[in-house]
Order: sequence, then C-alpha cells, then structure tokens
Amino acid sequence: MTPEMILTMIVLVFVIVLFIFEWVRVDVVGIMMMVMLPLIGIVSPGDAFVGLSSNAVCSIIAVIIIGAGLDKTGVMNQVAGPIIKLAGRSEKKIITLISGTVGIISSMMQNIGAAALFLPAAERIAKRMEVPVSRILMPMGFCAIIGGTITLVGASPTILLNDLMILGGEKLEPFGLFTQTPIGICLLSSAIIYFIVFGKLILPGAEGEADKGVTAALMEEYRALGTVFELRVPDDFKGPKTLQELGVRQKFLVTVVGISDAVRREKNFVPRSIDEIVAGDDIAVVGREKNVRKLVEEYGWKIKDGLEVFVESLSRTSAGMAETIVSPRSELIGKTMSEVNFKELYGVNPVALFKGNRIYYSGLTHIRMQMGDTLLLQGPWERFHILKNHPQPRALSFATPLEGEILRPRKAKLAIIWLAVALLQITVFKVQLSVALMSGALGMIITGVLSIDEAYRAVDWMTVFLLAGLIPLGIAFEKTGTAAFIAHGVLELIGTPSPIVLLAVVGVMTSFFTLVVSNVGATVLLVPLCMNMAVMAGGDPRMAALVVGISASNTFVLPTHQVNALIMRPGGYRTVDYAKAGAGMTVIFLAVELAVLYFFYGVQ
Amino acid sequence: MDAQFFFGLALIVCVFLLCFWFKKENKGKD
Repeated sequence: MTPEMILTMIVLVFVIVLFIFEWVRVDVVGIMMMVMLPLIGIVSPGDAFVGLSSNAVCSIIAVIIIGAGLDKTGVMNQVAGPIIKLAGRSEKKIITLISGTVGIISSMMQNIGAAALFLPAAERIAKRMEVPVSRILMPMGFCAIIGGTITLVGASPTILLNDLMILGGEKLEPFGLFTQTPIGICLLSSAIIYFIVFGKLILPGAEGEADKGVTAALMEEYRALGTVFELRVPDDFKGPKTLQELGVRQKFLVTVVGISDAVRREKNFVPRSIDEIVAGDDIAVVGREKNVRKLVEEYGWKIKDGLEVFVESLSRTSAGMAETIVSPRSELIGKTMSEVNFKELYGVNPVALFKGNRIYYSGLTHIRMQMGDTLLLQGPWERFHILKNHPQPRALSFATPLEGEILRPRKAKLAIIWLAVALLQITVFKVQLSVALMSGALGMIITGVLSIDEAYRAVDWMTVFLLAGLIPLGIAFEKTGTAAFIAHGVLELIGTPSPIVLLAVVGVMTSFFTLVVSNVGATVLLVPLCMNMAVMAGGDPRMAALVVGISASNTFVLPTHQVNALIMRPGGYRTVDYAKAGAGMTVIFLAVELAVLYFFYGVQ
Repeated sequence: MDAQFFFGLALIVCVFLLCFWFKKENKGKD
C-alpha cells in the first residue's frame, strides 16, 4: 500500500464522518475536497475542479433550468392534475403513482433527467395534497435510480457493459436492451412496496410550521374565520338573488370567495355584493362550519364533502391568504372599501379587518380605514404578486410572505417544444447529455419562457458543489490505485466460492464503490476483475458483469448519487435520513437482485 | 513516507479539528 492510498482512505473516512455528523453542510464538504485533495497531493490541481465542468454537473444545471421553465409556464400543473385525480387523498397511492411513473420514464432516459423534470410536479402535488414533501421525494428519487436498471440504456453503467465485456481478448456475447428487465422491474416493485409499508417509519415527516403554508397559519391565527367549503345551489333554487339580498356575510359571517356560473361556465374569484347566485351554481365560501350549515339550511343548498369545482383554482399552489397593512400615504386612509371599489381595483377578497384591538369579520366595506389597519385578504397568488410588484395605487404593504408565482401559460407550448428538442437530441441524435439539455435550457431563455436571472435562481448550488466536490475524490480513489487495491484484496480474501456467493460479494463491493467512486468509475474498474473471478469460480462471467452494472445503481445510503443530491434540499433531508431509508433499500436491492438471478437466470 | 504524506495527514487533522471546533457556529447560521 502506497502513502497516497493511505491518505485517500483517511480522506474517505473523513468525508463519511463529516457527512454523518454534519458539522459542516454536505456541499461544504464537497468544496473542501476540491481544495484539500490537490493540497495533499493525491489529485492534480487540474483534476480538482474538473467536477464543475463534468457532464453530470452540467446536465443537472441544464435539467433544473428546463424543469423550472416547465413549472413557470404551468405545464407541471397539468402533469400534477391527473396524478392527484387518480390518487385521490391517499398518500400511498401518490407515492406509488409518482415513483412508478418516474421509474418507468427513467428506464428510457438518464435517471437525473427523469427525477429533475418530475421534481417540481412532485413538490406541487405534495403541497396540494398537504403531504410532507419529504415523504414523496425520497421514494421518487430512489425509484428514478432503480428505474435505470430496467433497460440497458437506463443508466450509464449498463450502457458501458457491452463494451467492457472482453475476456482473454475476446468480446463476450452482448446483452440485449431488455436482458435485465425482469431484475429491474422486480427491484422497482420492491422499492415501491418498501416505501408503502415502511414509508412512515423511515421517512422524515413534516418540517414544522413552514411546511403548512401561510394560509393555514393565518387561518389558525384568525380562528373565527373557519375554513373553505364548496356549496352546491340546487336546480330548484328560486333565484337569481344577489349576495347582498341573501345576506351571506351580514347574517351568516360567511365570505363567498368564488362563484362558478352554471350558465356561462365561468368562475368569478372576486364576487361582489351585487353578483347574483342562480340555480346550478357552485360556490366556494370561507366561514365557520356551524355558520355555513345555517346558511345552507336557510336556502336549501348542499355542502360538498370537499372541494370539487374549485379544487384546482383554490388549491394551496393557486390561491391563498395574505395579511396586508394600510401603509402611510396610502390612498385608502380615511376611506371605506366601498368608496374605493376595493374588489374591482385590487381583484382580491377582504375577509377580515384588524383595527385597534378588534377583529371585524363583517361590515368591512363600511369601515373607514386608517394607517396601520391590518387587512386579511384572500385571492389568487398571481393577483397578490401583481399587487406587490406593481403597487399601483400604492396602498398596502404585505406583512406575510406570498406563495405561488406569476405563471406564463402562454409560453407553455414553447417550453414543451424545447424539452422535446433536448430529448430528441439525446434519444435520436445521441448528442451528449449536457450539450443536449443545455441547448434546451438556452432555447427556453432566448424565447422568454424564463429569464436568465430566473434560470440562475432556479439552479440549486448545493447540489452542484456537492457533486462537483465528490468527483475529484472518485478520481483520487481510482488514480492512486486505492479502488483496485481494495477490490483485489476482497476477491483474494473470499477465494473461490460458489457462483451465487461470488455474485453476492460482487454486489456488496459494487454497492460500496458506487457510493464513493462514480457509478461509471466503479463499473469500469470492477467489470474486468469480477469477470475473471467468475471464470475462476466456474460461473458465468456475463452474469458477474451484469451484477456490477446493476449494483452500480445501489447507492442509497449517502447523498452522493446525482439524484439523491438533487432531492436533498427540496426534501429537507439530512444525511441520516438517507442512511435510515437507504440501508433497508440497499439490503432489499441486493436480496431481490440475487433472488431474481438465482430463480430466473439459472445462477446456482 | 515522505514529507508530502505528513503534510497531507496534518492538513486533514487540522481541517477535521477546525470543523469540529466551529460546528456550533455553523449550525446556528444554517
């Protein structure tokens, strides 16, 4: 063993300790590697920063920008909609649907692409269903990685396999596209079952207050406000009657926040007192349950079990509440809301007014406002963003953070076209992943799907530096000969066991290497070694190569795989969360892989 | 074992201790 090998192993232990204890954040550990490895002298200064320009990191940057473009134009809402409809309110169904879809997509394209494109949709779904995002992202990420094992072109290690299978100067019979499919499908199914059965035990839950959202926090603050209900006006309702005539607010303290017109098939999200209710309308109201029940009994309406017509438009990602303060020099000072035509002017619904020490829930439109009065408003997030960014007339300051964003649905087609252009280059013209994806991202920026500043903001620098920092560590592991030294040592130690035991050792060793070295690096190193060992043990060298190629995707215990690094921040995960959920997954992966090889591929 | 090896070892130990020493301050800023 050379001094360089000893230093490399010490650095490896150092990295694992820092990953586990998190004395500094994982991406800072990545930057440390870029600086320390050339200083120690185990990689050249040129190799230290090679990670930043690597295919993997550039692809991640590009695919995050493409995902942000699709999200910004509302395409992700369209993807999320059908999944939510299919899944209903069941967390397990959501996990199955998202993870299954991502896994299958990932079998045909790079794992990171499938995961990054689905990330915004998964986040939206989690928000809308009020499920902690941490419960969805890790199953999705793991399944994206496992999906890569379904076909030969799903992940880089298996793409390389056929070229690496040379024994004694002769090329072995190459694998077909679907040779490994039974293993991949069993792995994907077992991963989904694992998360459905043990999900709540192994995945971190809600991250406290911040996860509930501003609206839920405000609803709790203003207890008398109640919650959102959807009502149905039956066909025998004697109307039309205006909200003023019905006295919805004055008599029942209930605020109408949406009317879905049965005749014109239009939705009005800023209903005024002169707006009419007719038979067949659907109405969204905010109020206490007992008050809403009184209203419904009085007019013979019906309360629905949950939001139906308004499920999309009043979901947490589309609409919500904001607390605003009447600012100094505001044109509202000394005036009532009806005098300034508040609803027409601002396009949002006032639901409560905090004045002095009192909270008013009704008669808001006739109260004279003063500087410092706090107005609780409800409306589409888009409208709030417009009010905040273009304060014309200058009247209100926002006291609570806004969720949602201004979408650009008119650019949706362009966004899809650029995604298609990128995918076409990868699948048909075999252009390098980073170049193809970056051209798609660039196309989106040039055609105004998102601005260059929005693109920069979308990129998660934590992911970039974590991965870019681990690449030189992988290089050190290979160039100093540490990886080969360990592999030879292990294989010498086990002697010549039966083929299935050898494959089990190969699987465990590849799983360890792929956590530290890149999956491609692990494959290139281990395939020739393990094929020779298989021949010595009297087994099939092709099966040994296949086990290396597939086990190179068994990387769940640390956030070192691109997909795991990508979901780390959005999911609010810590390294221990990967260790907790990943340990079980790693064992299941190996067990299922070997069982399928034993039963279906004739390995004894 | 040359000077570069001991320099590398010393560097790793120093950075390790530095991280350990400042862990509380870093956590506060996260």
